[in-house]
Amino acid sequence: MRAGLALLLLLAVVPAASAATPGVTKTQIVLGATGPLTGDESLYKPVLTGAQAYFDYVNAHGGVDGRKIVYTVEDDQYNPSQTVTLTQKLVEQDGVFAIFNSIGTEHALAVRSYLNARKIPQLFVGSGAAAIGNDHAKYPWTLGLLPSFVGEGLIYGRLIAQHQPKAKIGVLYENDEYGNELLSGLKKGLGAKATQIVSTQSYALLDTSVTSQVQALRAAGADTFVIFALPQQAAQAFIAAQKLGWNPTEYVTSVSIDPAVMQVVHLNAGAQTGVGATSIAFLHDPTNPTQKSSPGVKLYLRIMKRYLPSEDPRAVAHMYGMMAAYAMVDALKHAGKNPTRAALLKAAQHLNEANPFLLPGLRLTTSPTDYFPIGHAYLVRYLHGYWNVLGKPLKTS
Amino acid sequence: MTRLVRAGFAAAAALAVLFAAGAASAAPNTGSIAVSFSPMTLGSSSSATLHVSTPQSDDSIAAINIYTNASVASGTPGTQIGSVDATAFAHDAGLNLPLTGPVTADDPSKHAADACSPGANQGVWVMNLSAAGQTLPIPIYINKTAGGATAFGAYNLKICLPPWDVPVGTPGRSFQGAQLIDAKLTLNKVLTAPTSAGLSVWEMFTTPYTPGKGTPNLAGTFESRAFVPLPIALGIKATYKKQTHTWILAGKTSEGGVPLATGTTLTLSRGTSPTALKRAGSAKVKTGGAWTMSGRLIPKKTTYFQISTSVGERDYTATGCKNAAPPTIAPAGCVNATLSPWSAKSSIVRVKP
Repeated sequence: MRAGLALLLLLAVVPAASAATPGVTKTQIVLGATGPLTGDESLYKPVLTGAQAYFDYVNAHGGVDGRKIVYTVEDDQYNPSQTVTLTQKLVEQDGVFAIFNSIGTEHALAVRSYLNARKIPQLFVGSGAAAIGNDHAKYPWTLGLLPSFVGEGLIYGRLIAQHQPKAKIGVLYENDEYGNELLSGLKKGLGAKATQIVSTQSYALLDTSVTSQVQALRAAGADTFVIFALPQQAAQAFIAAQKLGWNPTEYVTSVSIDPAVMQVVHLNAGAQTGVGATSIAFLHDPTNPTQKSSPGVKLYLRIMKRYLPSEDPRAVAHMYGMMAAYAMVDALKHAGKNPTRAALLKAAQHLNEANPFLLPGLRLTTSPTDYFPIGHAYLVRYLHGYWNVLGKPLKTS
Repeated sequence: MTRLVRAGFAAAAALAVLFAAGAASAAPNTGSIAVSFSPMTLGSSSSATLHVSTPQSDDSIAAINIYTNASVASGTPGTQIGSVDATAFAHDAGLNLPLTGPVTADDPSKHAADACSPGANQGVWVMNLSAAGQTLPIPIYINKTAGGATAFGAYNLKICLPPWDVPVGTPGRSFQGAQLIDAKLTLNKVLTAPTSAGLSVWEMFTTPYTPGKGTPNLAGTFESRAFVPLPIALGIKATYKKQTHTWILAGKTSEGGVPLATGTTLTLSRGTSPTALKRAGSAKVKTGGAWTMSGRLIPKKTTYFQISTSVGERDYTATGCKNAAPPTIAPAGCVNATLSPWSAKSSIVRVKP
């Protein structure tokens, strides 16, 4: 009797987690995100709509422990100052449980201190920057998702050193953390052969053309062209090389292997441009005929048809969004029946999942000291109209 | 050849009011439309293709009004009625972008507040143009014509486009400064070809923006025409001379009642089964659309024959815009006319030794 009373008293003073945790009720979990839904950078929007579609699919199948996931996405137009304002709104007005899958490295860094100070999970940031992946001691509430940029550059460096020992290397890179980290990884991978980099040319995010940089790389005598650029500039780089009559061995960062990039390249510079280029990949490609029977691709196409019928299923960014959402659902499931923010973070720090949207043999794994969930990727080469997966997975972090 | 005659000068005057204001274009604009049905038969409704092209050198396009006497159905909202393949030039990146996607019928009530065609529309189709995961929905508003506009066709299809040539950051500017330069719509079971033989005309009035301003330049409105000849007839008749084991094929060809052009190549297919015909030669159309072919029947077995041909989109400006056509009311004139591309096959005939 006394024990029963004590238990009742305890229950009375310790509210259930669902009542005390912002964004969690008996029927729903509210997640928030910011990203460019409109404006010229809205080409990243499928990352958000792909995640939303996967949540819709999960909700239609009962949600997470009976709770539906509500995904509130605010349009920051890719402007970090708006990211700050809108993230504050999501936290303070909308009372989200966590920030999930917001777009942009700089944008994530702009709200990282704010979110960490309030112990609000900032999960699966679409970045492989060292500033996100390596600062877990100082900012434990912020966890990225992309493979390490340095690790990706390292792979290309080792590959060139091994297979093209006499290469004269020209590098086009974006002049920010993304490009600089890839370049630093490339040099690390090249080791002593880093001296064979004959020229590096940078561009700024808002530059409208990279033709002069490509001209400079060619003029420096490079026979190997490493493209550390976002999709638009990567397409421009392939096209510029072709138009200059330059035929180097080409490498391009994984961020720019969406099938649409090569479609644009071929429309502007002919079907042979870019053929033979090398990159790395970790996601399934819905346009790759060799992956059509994969359960992950089938699930992806089913979700696209049901929940995003008017969007283009060939855009791999949707696949990325679903992969991220799968990881989020996995973390929520492991955060307990009455999840708290601390429990969610702990779950996100202990991922070990076979995510169906990843290429076979890859897993999402994390630990309190490993904040790069995608630790491996495959080499891919562009041949026969798609990116062919080669060999065994390589370590990226 | 019959023509769809329009009695429309009063109507034209009424429409001309629409084009009566605005500055003249700085550069001559062109642009074309071509229309075809599959099959190219009277009353054909299974599939139709509309190909609209505007050169990159043209001014930014504000609105396109297409008039047709074909029957136009709105389609069931929410269903896919076709597909679109397009190319846009992204001025910000200096790149041509391939755009593809489904064309869907939409609920017109959702578009009642659209500035392009406010109020009640009979139907709305949406071209969901996708590139790199970015989908740009462009509505096509469908309405039966009324008043003076009936002179141009029974139906009006209207499309509005955002300007690309205004400064970056201007509200309403097209995504990446994209300029639509080519679009091919394949539409299923929503367009029905005329039921009377002849050459029907689709008229397209294109209104550009005043360069760099983002305001429609009504005085720059120009017309393009698509002429659709129906039906396509590939006649074929077979005879057999037993003494010499010779087959003789002959027939007459026409499009819209007019003989096919002399020299048009016809492909002959033959085989011992009507379902397994293989290419076996060719013939040229002679004066008056007639053609003939002959040969020895080897082996001496019952043999089936069929002819086929296809023609591409043809420039018809000299005739379609000027000589035989009614004068245009477009302030910037009629700049282009096309004759339909098409593919057709004859019936299959049998030669029995």
